[in-house]
Amino acid sequence: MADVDRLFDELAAAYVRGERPELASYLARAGDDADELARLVDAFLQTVPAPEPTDDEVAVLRARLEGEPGLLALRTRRGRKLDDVVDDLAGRLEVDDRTRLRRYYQRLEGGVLDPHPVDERVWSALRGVFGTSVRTMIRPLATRQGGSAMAYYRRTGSASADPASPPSSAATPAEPPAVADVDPAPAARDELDRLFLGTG
Amino acid sequence: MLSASQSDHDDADLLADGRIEHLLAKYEPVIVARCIKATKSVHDGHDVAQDVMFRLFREFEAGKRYETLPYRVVVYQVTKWTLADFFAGRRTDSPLPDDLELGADDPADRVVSELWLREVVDQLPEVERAACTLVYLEGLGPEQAAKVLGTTRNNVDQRLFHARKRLRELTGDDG
Repeated sequence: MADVDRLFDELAAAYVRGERPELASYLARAGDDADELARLVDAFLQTVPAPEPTDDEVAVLRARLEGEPGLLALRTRRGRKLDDVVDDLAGRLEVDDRTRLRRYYQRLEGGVLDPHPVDERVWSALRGVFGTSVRTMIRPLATRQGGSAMAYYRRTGSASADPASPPSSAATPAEPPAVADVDPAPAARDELDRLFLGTG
Repeated sequence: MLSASQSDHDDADLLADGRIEHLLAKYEPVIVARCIKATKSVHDGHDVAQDVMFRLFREFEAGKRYETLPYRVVVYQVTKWTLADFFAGRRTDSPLPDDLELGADDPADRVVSELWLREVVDQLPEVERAACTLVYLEGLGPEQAAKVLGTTRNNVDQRLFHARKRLRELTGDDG
């Protein structure tokens, strides 16, 4: 049986169980067959009733509609301290430099860091930390004034991060962060930079 | 797993109660998958999905309640329109035009509103139906399904073949 069929069966069963499997990671595993897997998954999701979301998922969605980054809302709801999450993440990613990791994580959680270049290993590790996929919840859906958060991000361009400059108020931004708050990426990237910024 | 009609009924109650965050949380995986599939890009797919979610929110805020239409069909149509805007280079986060008619007769929309995997599974021979029900409708992994059915993983994989084939036919990909 083709690998794409096995991946599909695995994902479909997890979805029906309400586990929110992360499609992007399955597509990465499918390699050249990613488009075929995406078509199969899409058809499946259109033809089965969607599982009920968990209380956490509903709370995170509500926060995103109110202008708050979802990952921050999830951590707050779980009652986990920032340093506790960073320690957990450091262990899973085998990163020694916790100070810089903390800054990157804060940027990601605060909606300052462009999530697109973030490595699959980080998403997988965060899934382990929180027990659920956090990839789709990074950015708020609406601004606090009710506008489109994506429109804001498009207008300001993708944010890249400088590990030396954590966001000043990532905890509860009134709006998606202003691009002026974001420093340029480091000229030379080490492994930790590449995990969060990509290869550039 | 709930039946389609029960799920639709629950959605209608959620909408009537104003619990849009619950509905959006429920349908986010469906929207993301459709957008990734259509754009062939995880990045673009996630971004367009955000716009779909925002548009659904705006429709709700504008008082739209679609009393005669299952919410999953509303989700499907708003996703379709937003993807059309994306491919046409138009803004994908602006309010939907007032003259867009939700529930308009479109064969593709009928597929979504009428065809359910359970019905496909019910038409399979019994030996295949049992495996498909356990994996695709009850959420057992193929290994677990093999144990329940007293057979091998490989055998379960083969029994799932026809359900996947039907899904492939739905996507126009019979390969």
